[in-house]
Amino acid sequence: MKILLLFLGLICSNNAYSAEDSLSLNVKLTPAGSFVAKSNKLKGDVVKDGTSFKAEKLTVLISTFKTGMALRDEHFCKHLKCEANPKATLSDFVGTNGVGKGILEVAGVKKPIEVTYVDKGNQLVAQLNFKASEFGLPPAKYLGVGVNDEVTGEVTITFKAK
Amino acid sequence: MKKYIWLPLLMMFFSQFAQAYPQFIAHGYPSCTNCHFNPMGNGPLTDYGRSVGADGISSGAFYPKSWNEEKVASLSGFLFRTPVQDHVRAQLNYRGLQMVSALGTSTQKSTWINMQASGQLVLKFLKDDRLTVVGEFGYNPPSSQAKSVGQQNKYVRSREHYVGYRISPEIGVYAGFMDKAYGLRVSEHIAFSRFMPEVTQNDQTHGVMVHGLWNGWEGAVHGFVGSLYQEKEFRQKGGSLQVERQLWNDHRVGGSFMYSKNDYVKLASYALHSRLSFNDGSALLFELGQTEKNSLGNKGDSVGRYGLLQTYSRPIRGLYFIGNIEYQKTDLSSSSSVVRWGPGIQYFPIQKLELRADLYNSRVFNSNASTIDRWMLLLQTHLWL
Repeated sequence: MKILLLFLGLICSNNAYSAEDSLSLNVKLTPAGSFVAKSNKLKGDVVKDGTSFKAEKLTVLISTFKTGMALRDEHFCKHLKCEANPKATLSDFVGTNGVGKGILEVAGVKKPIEVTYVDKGNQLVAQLNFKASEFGLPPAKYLGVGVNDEVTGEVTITFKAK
Repeated sequence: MKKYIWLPLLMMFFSQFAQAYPQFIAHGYPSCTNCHFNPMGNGPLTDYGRSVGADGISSGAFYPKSWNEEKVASLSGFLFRTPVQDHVRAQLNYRGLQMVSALGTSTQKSTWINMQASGQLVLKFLKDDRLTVVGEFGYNPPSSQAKSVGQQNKYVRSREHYVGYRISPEIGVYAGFMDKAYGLRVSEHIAFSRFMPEVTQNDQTHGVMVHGLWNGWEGAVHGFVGSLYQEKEFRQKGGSLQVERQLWNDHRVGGSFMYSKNDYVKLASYALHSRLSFNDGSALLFELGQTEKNSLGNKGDSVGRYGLLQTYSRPIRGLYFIGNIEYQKTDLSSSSSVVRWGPGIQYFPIQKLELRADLYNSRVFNSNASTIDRWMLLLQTHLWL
C-alpha cells in the first residue's frame, strides 16, 4: 500500500500538471479527414525575459513525427525531404504580448513566420499557420487522397526565466 | 410462448454483417469517402481504404521484419497485388460466424453460419475517379423474414449496384440499389439502431442519393422507391436525410430522418447520433432514435425507441476492445423493453483478415412477465481479398 501511495504521489507531483514539450501539426485531407503529426522531440531553449520570450534556435527531427499510421509516418518524412533536410528549425524567435516572430525552415527553405502564443506559467503554447507550398513542397496525394496546402500547428514548450 | 420471444433475435444472425466501421473516425477518418466508393460507407474499398486497412488498421506483428510499410501497402490490392490499371477494381468477401446461443444452459446450441460470400466489382473513370459503377453480388443466407416482406428467398442476390458521379470533391450523385442514408452504419446488422428503422442487411433500396461535404458538414439526401426485387405493394417508398457536423476536428454529431410507406405501413424514423474520437483508434459511438409505425390495415400504430452506445479502445495496432450497450422498446405504450450488452474483441492480425468475438447478454424488462437472461457468443471470421 505504501508503495502504491508513493507511486501515486510521484505521478501527481508538479510535472504531472505540465504538458509534454511537443510540436503538433494538424493536416487536413481531401476529400475529407485529417491527421495530427506530433513530435515530442523538440530541442532548444525558450527564455523568458520580463514579458518577452526569446529562442535562438528550436529544432525538431522530421523523422520523429508520428501520425498514427506507420506508412503515413514514412510518407510524411519523405514529403518533407527528411533525408536531405532532417530538421525543421525555428530561429531568431522573439515574442511580446502574445505575438511572436521568427524564421521557420522546412525542407531547406527559410520563411519568416508569425505566431500567437499564451504564457501557461512555465510553458509557452504557440499557434502557427503556414502553407506547405511556401516551403517548396509539392501537393501531396496518395491513392486518390490529397493533403490541404494549409497546415496549422501548436507548439508546447517549457521556458526558462532569464 | 415466451421462449420463442428470442427467435426473431436469433434469426437476425442468419445474414451478413455489413462492412462499415464508423469508429475509424478515431484514425482521423470522420467521413467514409476516403476509404469506400460509397461515401456513406459499406461496400468495396478504394485503393486508399485498402492501404489504410493494411497499414493503419491491421497489426504489423506477423510480417517479416525486412518488410517496410510500403511493402505491406503494395500487397493491399485485389489478391495481394498492386493494381496495374486504373479502371477496374475487384474484391472478394467472406464472413463466417460460429454462433453459440443460450450459452450456459441445457439448450445451448452451436451453429456455423456463412454470412457473406460475395464478389464486388468497381469500374471507375474520369479524373479523380469521378464516375464509378459499383456492384456487389453474392450469397444470401436464407431468411425467414424475406417472404413476409414480399422478397423471394434467393440464395444469391445483388447487395448493391449503383452509378456514382462526383460533380466536385464536395458533392456527388449516386443512383441505383444501395443502403439507405440513415443513422450510424455500424457493422452489426443486428443492432437495434439498424433493425428498428429498417436499415439493416436486407433493406437496400432503389433510389437516388446526393452526398455533400462542405465546411465541416457532411450529409446525404436519399430519395427511394423501395427494392424493385420486392412485390410492388411491399416497396417502401420515401426519403431520408442524414447530416453530421464536425466538432473540434475529431468529433461528429448529427441527426437522421427517414419517412417511407408501402401499401400496408407508414414508417417514420428519426435519430440523434454522435461519433467521438479519442485518437489512436479509440472511439465512442452513440445513437438514440425513435420509429413510428402506422399500420394502414388498422392493426394498430406503435412508436418504438432504440439506443446504441459503443466504445472502441485500441491498446495496440490491430486490436480493439469493444463495449456494446443497446436498448430497444418496440412499443412505448408497452411495459416491455430489451437491453443487450456485452464486451467484444476485434483483431486484425494481418491485412484482409478480421477475427472477432462478441459476448452478448440480452435481458427483457417486463413488469408483467419475467424471462431469464440470455447469453450468446459470436465468433466471426472475415476475409476480404
